[in-house]
Amino acid sequence: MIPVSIQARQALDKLLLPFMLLIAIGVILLGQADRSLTHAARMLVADVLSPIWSLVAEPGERVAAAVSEVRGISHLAEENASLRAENETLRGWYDVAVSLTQENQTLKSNLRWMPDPVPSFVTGRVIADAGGLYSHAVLIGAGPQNGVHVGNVALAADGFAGRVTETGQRSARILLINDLSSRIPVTLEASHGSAIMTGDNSSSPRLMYYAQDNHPIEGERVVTSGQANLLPAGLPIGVVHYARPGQPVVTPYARLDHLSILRVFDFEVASIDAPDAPGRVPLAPLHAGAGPNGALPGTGPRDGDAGDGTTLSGATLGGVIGIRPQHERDEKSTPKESNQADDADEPQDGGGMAPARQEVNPGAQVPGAPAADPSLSGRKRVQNPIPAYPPPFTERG
Amino acid sequence: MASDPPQQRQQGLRARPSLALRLDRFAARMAPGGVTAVLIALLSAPTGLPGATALLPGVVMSLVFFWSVWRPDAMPAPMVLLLGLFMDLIGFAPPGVNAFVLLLLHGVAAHLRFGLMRLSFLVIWLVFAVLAALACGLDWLMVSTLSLQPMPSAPAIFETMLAVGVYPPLSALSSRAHRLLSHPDPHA
Repeated sequence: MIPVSIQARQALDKLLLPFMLLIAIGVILLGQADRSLTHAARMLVADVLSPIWSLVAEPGERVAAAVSEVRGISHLAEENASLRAENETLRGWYDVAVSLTQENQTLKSNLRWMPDPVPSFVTGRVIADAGGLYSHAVLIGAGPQNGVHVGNVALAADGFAGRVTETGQRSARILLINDLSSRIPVTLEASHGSAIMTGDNSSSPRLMYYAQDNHPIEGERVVTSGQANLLPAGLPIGVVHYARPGQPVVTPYARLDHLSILRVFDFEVASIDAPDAPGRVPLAPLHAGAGPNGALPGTGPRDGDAGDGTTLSGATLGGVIGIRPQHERDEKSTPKESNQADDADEPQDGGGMAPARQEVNPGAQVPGAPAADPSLSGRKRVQNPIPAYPPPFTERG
Repeated sequence: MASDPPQQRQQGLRARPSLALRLDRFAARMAPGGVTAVLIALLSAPTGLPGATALLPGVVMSLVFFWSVWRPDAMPAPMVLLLGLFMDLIGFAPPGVNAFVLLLLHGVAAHLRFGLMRLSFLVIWLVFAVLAALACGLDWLMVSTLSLQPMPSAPAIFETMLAVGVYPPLSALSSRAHRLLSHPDPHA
């Protein structure tokens, strides 16, 4: 060290604290100005500490398991009885579930239901409480190397827990649904309403922005909504509970304060692109009607229904835009799902829209029984591209 | 201390301390801060301890206050700054807030230390309670300001109560450590 006089050293000692305070203020300002730097620093610290935290977490979990085992021994008999009763009930529910699954499968195949993509997931251990005092978040010991990315969805054993907001090398931070800055679009299953679930740092997030003529019902299930392309639809979150009159909250299924293992799903919701011009009717390309698709067999049986002229050239534009503009608009807004053949096919049908839809699946067309219920088959095709909503049968269970 | 002025050594007033002695002094100087850092890391791990996140600021404040009063050499301002930044980064709080609050606490404690050391434990505890409440309030205010929305005040009150409650046992342990550890710089 540089030799300094005692007076100088005392003066330096006095300046040390103000200097450190200035550094702290500088860090505060820097943190506000450059968020990415803060994120990088945090995730670096988390990455370095995550092996240590995993070491701590494992014995802690074992101790907890041993304690609960010891506690279970004392209540063995009554627990056995209650489990037996519960098993009886569940067996009944199992039968119901099997038959409903079967029915669901049949209906879906009848409807040509477009199956949701199967998500990939990784399971990670919660290694740290990354929330602090004023936020609720956890850190899991899996990172981008394991396929965890920002925006992925974290589910606990029994329900939706949160979303990945930051990732490091070996760890990822998951913002829980009860954090102050969490906003999740939800669907209420019984009342069919939608709302926004807002975290308020308490254990039960609030419901906001629901329709005033359709209030949430006490005890109904709350699931995620597919709107806004943020989350896949239908993930169970919890049940509605009125803490006070006029203030519905959600009691989450997941035990947010005792999370130990989380599954992180990559639903790839962001990969669904919106149509180019939603809500507008694009003009059908003129040459499409004259293309080779125009002569598909579907046109035949329907001629009688529509009672229109069957000449292709005459039906082209008049049939599409002039007669049923409303339905056409429905169709056009979902071009992704309609196999591109749609645009080419539509122009040739003389009047109704239904036969045009059937041309898409020529194999299903029975020439003798033309469009038993044209309106239904038309609606079917329009509904298909929206797998976001839970199928209507679910209310039955 | 490793930094003896050379002319003193030539005059033979003080022998240069041996390596072992210097290491020992260094360890003693670093021990309080190191223990605090380990506690911060451990309390952030999912140990299943109820209220661990609310307990953490209380533990750190207690330790910083104790060592700032009884042995400021072992809890210098740079150490307090590092501990605060470590806490901020682990807890995902706005960076620098805890560091700022802890530095203020350290400054006040080091300023009052000669008055405090003559008082009884109960009075020191009372002073700590007041300072901890102020620190928690300042923390709440800064976090609310920086995130541009009022944070719920219940955690801050809970935090203060835990800090006041955790001080006596930590103070007892630290007093023992204070007596056991050799003074890092007896000539200072």
